Amino acid sequence: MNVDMKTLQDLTMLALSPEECAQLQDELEAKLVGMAELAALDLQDAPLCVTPLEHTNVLRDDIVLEHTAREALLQHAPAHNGEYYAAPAIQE
Amino acid sequence: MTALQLAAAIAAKKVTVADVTAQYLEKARASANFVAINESALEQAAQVQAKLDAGEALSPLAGVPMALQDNIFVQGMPCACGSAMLEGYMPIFDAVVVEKLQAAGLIVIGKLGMNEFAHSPQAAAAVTAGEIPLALATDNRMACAEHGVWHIKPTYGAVSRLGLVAQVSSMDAIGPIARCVEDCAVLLEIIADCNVAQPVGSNENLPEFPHALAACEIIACAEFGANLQKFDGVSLGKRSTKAENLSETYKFSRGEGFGLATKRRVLFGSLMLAGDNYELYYTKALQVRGQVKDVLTSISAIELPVDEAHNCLANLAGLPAIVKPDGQQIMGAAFTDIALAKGVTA
Amino acid sequence: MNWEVVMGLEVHAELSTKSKIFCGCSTEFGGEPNTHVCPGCTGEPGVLPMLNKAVVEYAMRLGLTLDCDITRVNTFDRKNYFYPDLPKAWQTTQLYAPVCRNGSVGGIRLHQIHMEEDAGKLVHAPNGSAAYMDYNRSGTPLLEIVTKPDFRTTEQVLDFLETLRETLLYLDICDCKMQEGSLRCDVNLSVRPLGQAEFGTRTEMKNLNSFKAIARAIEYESKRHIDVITRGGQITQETRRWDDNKGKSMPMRNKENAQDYRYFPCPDVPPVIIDDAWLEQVRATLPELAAQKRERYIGEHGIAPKDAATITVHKTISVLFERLVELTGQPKEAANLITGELMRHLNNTGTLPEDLQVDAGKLAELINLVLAGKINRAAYKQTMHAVFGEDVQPMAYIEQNGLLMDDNSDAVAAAIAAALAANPKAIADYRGGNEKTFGFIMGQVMKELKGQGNPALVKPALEAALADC
Repeated sequence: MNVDMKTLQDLTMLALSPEECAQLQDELEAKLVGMAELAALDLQDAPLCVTPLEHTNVLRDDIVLEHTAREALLQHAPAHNGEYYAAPAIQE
Repeated sequence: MTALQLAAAIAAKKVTVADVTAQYLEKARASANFVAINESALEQAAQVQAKLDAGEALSPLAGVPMALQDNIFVQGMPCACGSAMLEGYMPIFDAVVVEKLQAAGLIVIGKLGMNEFAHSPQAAAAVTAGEIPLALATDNRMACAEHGVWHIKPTYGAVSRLGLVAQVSSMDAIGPIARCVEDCAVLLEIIADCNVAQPVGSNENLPEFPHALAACEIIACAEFGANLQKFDGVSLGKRSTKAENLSETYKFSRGEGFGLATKRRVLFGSLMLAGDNYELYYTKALQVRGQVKDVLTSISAIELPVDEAHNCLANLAGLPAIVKPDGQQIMGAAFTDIALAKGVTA
Repeated sequence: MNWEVVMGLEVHAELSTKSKIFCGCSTEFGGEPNTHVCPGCTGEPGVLPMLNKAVVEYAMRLGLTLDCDITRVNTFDRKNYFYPDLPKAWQTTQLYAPVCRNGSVGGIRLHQIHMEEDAGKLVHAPNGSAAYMDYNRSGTPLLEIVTKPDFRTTEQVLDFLETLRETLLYLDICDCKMQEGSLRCDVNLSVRPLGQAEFGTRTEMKNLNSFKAIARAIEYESKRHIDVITRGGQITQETRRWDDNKGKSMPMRNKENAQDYRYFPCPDVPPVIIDDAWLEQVRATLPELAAQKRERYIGEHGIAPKDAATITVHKTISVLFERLVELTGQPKEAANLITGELMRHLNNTGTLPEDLQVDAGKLAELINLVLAGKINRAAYKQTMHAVFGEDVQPMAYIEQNGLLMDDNSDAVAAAIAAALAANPKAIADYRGGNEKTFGFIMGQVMKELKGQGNPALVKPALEAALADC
């Protein structure tokens, strides 16, 4: 089964070297083979378990809490101008 | 000397918090397992000493130095998760576990290195070598079994994940590492809420779960990949200097910032969610998870080897697991962690 | 060849909760960039979402009002893609279990309504060298309302949006300011030969910022589809951006097309169970809608239907009306005030109803003053506009401008005497049977009193004086 590495790289925004790409393609394809039994299971309507916890309705009241100082967050931005996060231009 | 014994010595004024702290700071600075040192440790030691002198009952571990895996936030200390992508990232708040252990009088000596967005062999090594009496890490069962040191991976949800850099959202659990199980149990009680009495359940032979490992890997990689999307070089993380447009900024920053193992997990995660694969693999994995969890609700305490095939059970079902120095683990019922630990001593 | 245009809408309504959907940051519009933010809505690690209860209840209000089936077990999913306005690189939304299914507005069927979080705002540098991100809007709660492709005309689309807008306003869940982006509409459009059952290929249009733009875009795009097909070409299924200045739509690249969002259930947001008790509680506290208010104003207060329609043109106005009724017990006076002087004020100043700021207490005071005979109608109107314009204190303004009606009967007698002396012909006309002359003489008396006469006093006094002539 062929894994479409170009599409996967685009979806995950990961640049790979040709060597990395070739190696990872092999590994991913081998993994798929290993998953074949799982894929072949017929579990019909067995419920999906997304998390082991059984909480529901974990809700908070509509109250405004203190904001974080802009400087504290902008220090984590790869680029900023003191007010905005800055990114390279977007081509539409 | 165990951490509890050290605390007793401090309480009996045989040794001061400052002396103990200084001693472990020196070890940490000399150790390759530490990636960051708390420069305020001595100051914090003095504050704890003052409280103890004033008769405050902080906790049975008051004054004891400890260290944290470098994916848990300590404000004022960098948190890089072993990744070039997060080099120099400075958290702006303390993790809830850090707030709790500081309130209990423990002293943070430093942060322990780790494999990129994975587990921490360094945490296991540091405790084994006596570089630090106590550590907190996320699911470090493999490394701890290899090093022959105690570790509790707690019940999922018992320990707050606020201030932990998320890896696998539905499996991440911060737990103690120490040289005896009593130390682990007391530290766990400080940071967690998991004191349900151990049930008298069936511990007969566990059935086979032929698809558990596959299911676990699929779910873990999918969540892991999504959780790492925020490290994009655009709003967060190290930006590549070679990029000439937005798309390259994303791809090069993440390409340069992540190692091969991380990329493998991210790619596999997306592969399992893409197109038809979602129905073919991912929903099946969630269904298998449900089945595993159902079967395991009736266990009380069961001994298992520490390996991928068995580790995944506690991850899928969110159950507590205690790794023993003999390389085996005891898996128990949800929220019975403390009782489970007491049972192991006996 | 006769063509039929087929359309469906995706409407995003920003909810007017105080705080965001998954964190406690304020949703207040405006504000300096990146000042209503926290690690949660800026995509930092180490944080967890906490779902705002009001968001679920607002969704329930809308679902109940539009006759939807309310989903009892609600889950949230991650929609994954990279774009600078999306700091986590995923949007938390509801794909698999949206909060409402089916329902309708007018004759238009709804497909579903779901809850989701908004992205931040991108600002482009003028020279195109960079893009700037403001995450104030990131995490604002949205309801996405998706219709079935039931629309055939622009008029139907605009009617639907008008009704939806009114409903959202009266339910108190969205302020519907298209110019601030709190109500956004995307149009899905295709064409097919009249009578054909199969749908044509559709395109989606975004960036429609007003009802006029929507109308223009629909006209342009339907022509474009027909044009392409008539010439033997094929419509590409794609998302297009409407440029209202240029009057055309253009394909959008990258973000919107051919993306695999790899949705999966979000493990960090536990399911929300909506049980009968909660549903009934929300149903019992549903605010009154515009149509219900109109019925009530007509039935209980005897207001004319036309006036009731004016009062309910915006919730702000109907709230003002109800407050005035509460304070004065005079619904007809309140209605006249609104349909008369208030509407005049709004039109003259170009003020939108939602931006109206007026002190109901002051207007109530004025109503009471005019009904008590302390001021006449002219003074009433004048003072009212001073309240609208400068928010004056009514009594202070009235006194400063000498607008209190004179109750001095000597002054009235003197004024009557003077007016009668100056107009002997009018008196003769009146005595001769011309009743209309009374009005003229009355006007002359009021002129003598410099506009401060109290008609209630003057009229009987004048009648008596004329009888004696």
